Amino acid sequence: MTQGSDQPQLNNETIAFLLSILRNASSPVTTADLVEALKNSSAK
Amino acid sequence: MAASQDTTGITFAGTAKQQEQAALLFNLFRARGMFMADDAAIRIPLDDLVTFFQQQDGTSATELQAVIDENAASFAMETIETVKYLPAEPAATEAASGEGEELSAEAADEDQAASEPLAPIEVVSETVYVVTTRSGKVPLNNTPVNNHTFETRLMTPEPEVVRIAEPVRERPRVDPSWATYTIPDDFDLEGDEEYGDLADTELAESAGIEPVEAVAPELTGDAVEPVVESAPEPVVEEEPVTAVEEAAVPAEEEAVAEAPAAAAPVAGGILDVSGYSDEAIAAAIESQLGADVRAAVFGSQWMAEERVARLSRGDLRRIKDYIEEQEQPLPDTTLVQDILNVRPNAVDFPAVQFAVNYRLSREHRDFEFVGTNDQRFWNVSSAPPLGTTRRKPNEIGTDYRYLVEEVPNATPRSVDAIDHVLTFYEFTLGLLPFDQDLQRLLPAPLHPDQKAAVLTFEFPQAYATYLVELRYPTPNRGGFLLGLDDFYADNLVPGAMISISATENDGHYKVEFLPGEDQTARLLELDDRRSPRYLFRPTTFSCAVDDAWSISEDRFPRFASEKPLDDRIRRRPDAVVEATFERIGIQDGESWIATFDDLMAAVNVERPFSEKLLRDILEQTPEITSDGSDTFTYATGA
Repeated sequence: MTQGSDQPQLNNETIAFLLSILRNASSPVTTADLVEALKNSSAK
Repeated sequence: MAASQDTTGITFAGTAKQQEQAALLFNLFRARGMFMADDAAIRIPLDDLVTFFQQQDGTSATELQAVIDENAASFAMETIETVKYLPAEPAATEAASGEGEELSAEAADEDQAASEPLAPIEVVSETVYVVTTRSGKVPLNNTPVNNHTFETRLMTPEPEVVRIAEPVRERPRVDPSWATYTIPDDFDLEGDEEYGDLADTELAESAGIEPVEAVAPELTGDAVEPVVESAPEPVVEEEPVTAVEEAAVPAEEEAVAEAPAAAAPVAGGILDVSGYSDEAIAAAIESQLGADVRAAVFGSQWMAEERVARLSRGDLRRIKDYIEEQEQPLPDTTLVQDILNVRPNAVDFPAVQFAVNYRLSREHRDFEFVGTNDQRFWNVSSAPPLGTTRRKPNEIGTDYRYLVEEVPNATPRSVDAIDHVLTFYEFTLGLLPFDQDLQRLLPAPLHPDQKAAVLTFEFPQAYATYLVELRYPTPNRGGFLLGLDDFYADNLVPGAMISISATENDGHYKVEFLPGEDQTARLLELDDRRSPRYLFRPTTFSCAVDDAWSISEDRFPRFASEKPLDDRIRRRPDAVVEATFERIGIQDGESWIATFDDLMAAVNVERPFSEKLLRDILEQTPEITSDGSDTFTYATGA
């Protein structure tokens, strides 16, 4: 796969997943944290 | 006074004897109720009256009853029940114990009962009373009111209250931000939140998502993991539902549907991003999640919008007043501690810090973000500008316009340190050009519309730290840094060599100058106290100086008493170069001869020049010729 340069199009489920992370957090989340969480969810 | 009362108005019925006896009876009642009200009931037991009349004239009870019956309008009979409680006699227990020699469990119980205090015996007796009033009429209400006496209330237990099971009331959800010190200040945002909650519900339903309860408020790597692991597995399928639980499931589903924001959806259709780079994923999150009203973003930090604490109008006013009072931009940490009184070691300090940055970024009219990602300064529009007052920032930006065309797109924060030699222009105004070197060292603006950033420059050799304002370039003006005039005046001279190194904090930098031996020289200064003019003054300094950039009297003696060029000339770089030839060049008839190094140092007295800009002007001006080396001739008559 050579999609490294293009942006993925996040679907509704992915947005909902990211929002759930934000809602569960009591302190600010960095973009790197969200990227890592998204990659982990993809791996599983 | 009782003797004066007239009772003759009352006539009694019956025979003459009965009338006489009725009058006697009535007088008896009046004597009994001498101090009673006219309509108060006067009661005397019938037995007492019989005894009295028998002692008087031998009237029997029957005759007295006849007198009362004959005068029913004046006398009435009533029976009052009296209850008395007598102590129980212990004889009953003795009889019970003597009966049985067969001691059984029942007998033991009886013994136990006998040892307990005995209940009193209730004795009810009825007494017949004759009733009348002092006015000689039967009282209207001759029934004694005894249904609410203390005795009645004490002895009559209250009926057991049958409580009807109330239906479970729907508990309204309270936005978490209301539980903090803040109040909502924008009704539009409230509408957005409701829209967000509604959208969440619809989204979860359309995706078949089963929300789970949020259990871990801490956001760490571990806190994210459980949500991810449980994502593809619906909760209902995992646990078998028993008959008892089946009844509870609809109620739970209703509760979830009513409060979607309190639960975290576990999705099964999360996009597979394994084929994308981290930068691409981050860009997608910033562009797509950042456009969602339910997410709050500031810099590289995110929070759910509904969890971001709100600042009241009073908070905003106090923050604005505090910045104006301090007369300089203040970091968010200072605002959180001094204005909102949240300690740095408090659990919610990062959240409040984010709230301050996020909420102030919405107040465009009053507040301006002038920070970096690691060091977030806030300023107000009425605050005094940092740096020199000799020239306006817009004019300085116009002077550096050549940087917009010359400097290619440099990668911010790509180098750790840079070296720089101060020109006279930079020294006089206390600034640095935002040239290619500094663009590689300093951070890019955090927001696309950010105009300036306040950095802290630490000078270990002077034991001082200065606030420096970085003005980012615009399409028409170049960028520069302001606020170093005091440090320059105290420690450096034109031609001094400084080194600026980055730290882990992208808003904090260390500046060092190359030290040298103490020396004294007559250096050029701009005296702008009355009419501005250049002059040479003896100056003692202890920093190393690049001789190519030094403006000394020995090198350029004709600069003394020169006035700064008029602004109309200053705005034209070619005119500045021609004037500089006449200031520093060697005159040869109608021509002026100067080397490139001398020209470079001298033109930077009036306005900033880069080497490329100066060479372009030297090549493009027809009056200026070169001999092939770095010596140029300006012919004024050509």
